Amino acid sequence: MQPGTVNSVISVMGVSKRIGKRQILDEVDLEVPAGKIYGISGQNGAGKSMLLRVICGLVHPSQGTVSVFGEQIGKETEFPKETGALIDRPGFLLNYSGPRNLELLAMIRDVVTKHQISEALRLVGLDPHDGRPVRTYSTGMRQRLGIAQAIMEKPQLLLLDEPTNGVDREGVRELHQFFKGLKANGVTILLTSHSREELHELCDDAFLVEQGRLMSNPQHF
Amino acid sequence: MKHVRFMPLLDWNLRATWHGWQMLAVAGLFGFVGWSSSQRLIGMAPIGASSLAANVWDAFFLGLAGPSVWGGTILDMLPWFAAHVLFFYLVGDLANGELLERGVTILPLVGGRLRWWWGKTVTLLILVAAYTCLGLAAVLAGAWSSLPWGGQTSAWMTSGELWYWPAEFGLRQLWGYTFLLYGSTLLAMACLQTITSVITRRSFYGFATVSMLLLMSWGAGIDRPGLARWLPGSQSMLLRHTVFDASVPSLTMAWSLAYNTILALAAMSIGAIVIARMDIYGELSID
Repeated sequence: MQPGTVNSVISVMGVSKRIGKRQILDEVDLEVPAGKIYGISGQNGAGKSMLLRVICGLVHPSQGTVSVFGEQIGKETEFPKETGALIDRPGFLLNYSGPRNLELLAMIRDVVTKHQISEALRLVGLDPHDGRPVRTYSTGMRQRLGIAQAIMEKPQLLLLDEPTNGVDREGVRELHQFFKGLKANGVTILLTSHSREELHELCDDAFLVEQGRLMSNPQHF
Repeated sequence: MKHVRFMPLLDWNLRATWHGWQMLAVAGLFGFVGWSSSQRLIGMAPIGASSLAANVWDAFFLGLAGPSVWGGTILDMLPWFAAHVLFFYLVGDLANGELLERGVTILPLVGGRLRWWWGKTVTLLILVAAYTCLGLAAVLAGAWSSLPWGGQTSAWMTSGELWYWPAEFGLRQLWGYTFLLYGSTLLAMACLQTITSVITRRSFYGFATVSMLLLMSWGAGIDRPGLARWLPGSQSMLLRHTVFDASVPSLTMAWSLAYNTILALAAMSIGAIVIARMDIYGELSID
């Protein structure tokens, strides 16, 4: 696909990120078309999470541009619209329950009803009536809660950084089915993963990040 | 950009920063300051005089007036210092902690770094007001356990026997000065603390910076009345104000409020510039 193609949801052009003397991303180009699942793999420290942060507007690139839904991040909009993200560990108020956390977050923009929050929680396999504080959640439950937060506003784009990290085998299978369902409904997903099986099962295309450079990863397909 | 509602954002900020046990800690510390001040007053009472010569407002003044420029011991300084340091400890993670733990979640939701930052500064203002009100009330409550209530400071306190007491200084002035000077100083220093934490990405550095500033202000001001007005932290020391110590030049209520306001605005503005350009990494490594 050519850079800047009209139906690209994400368009990353010549993005580099340097922190001190360390080159985290090096001339990265990426086009993600609508309604597809794209995957990124790579070793720890290769730069895959940084790429998601740049796309999400959390990190300013040292050079290059990122556009999401046609709007340049950092110029036309600070953070991409219609986008849900799970990057790093999901961050919540640990003394409040998962559903209460989502309610408090949802109130900030007031675009999600309680019913929609319950629906998002059920979709990721969490109990909407679970009153236990988040600090008692397992890693897998926190990941699911992070995904529920990312999808509760029904975004058209999902950025997921190792979304099945810490999730048990059955949970992984459920989440894979869930992501496929989102794709069938037209949602575009860009995710990172260490698992070749995951990338193979979920992704329409996958890339490898090595020393900050993004390259095609045909061995997955 | 979808509309962001400011009140729920403040609600989130307050829930993230303020917990029930913290109110108990504030009430406990300030209550102890009030009680220990009352005990000191009882001990200082002239031989033959009843401890009832003093009342709760005397203990309120003794506990919160801070150290004077003329020597004194660390014990004289401690209640003033502890009252500030507890607040710095409680709000130490207000911005940096959230950036590390929840920044990647909350910032895109809020829709802008600056909007998030102003939310934090307004939250700080609310917390300062609540902390100061609760603290001052707890000092009175602590003192009330040993001393009687009073409609004004006692005649013993205002007689000039203990220190100079300005004739026009009634309860309204005592409460108002103490509230405004503590509140504005806490706000200014906490803004400085917050932005130091954010810049260094270490909450402890912000906490240590403002705590050291307070100690240095206390120490550097001793026996140097001309320097007192310039030192950050002197602004909440009532006993270093000209109204109580004529040897301290031009350290007035108006000066202190202006000083603290400028310091707070400068820290907030620097914070806005830093935050607008800041990369948000979260807690994990920058891979």
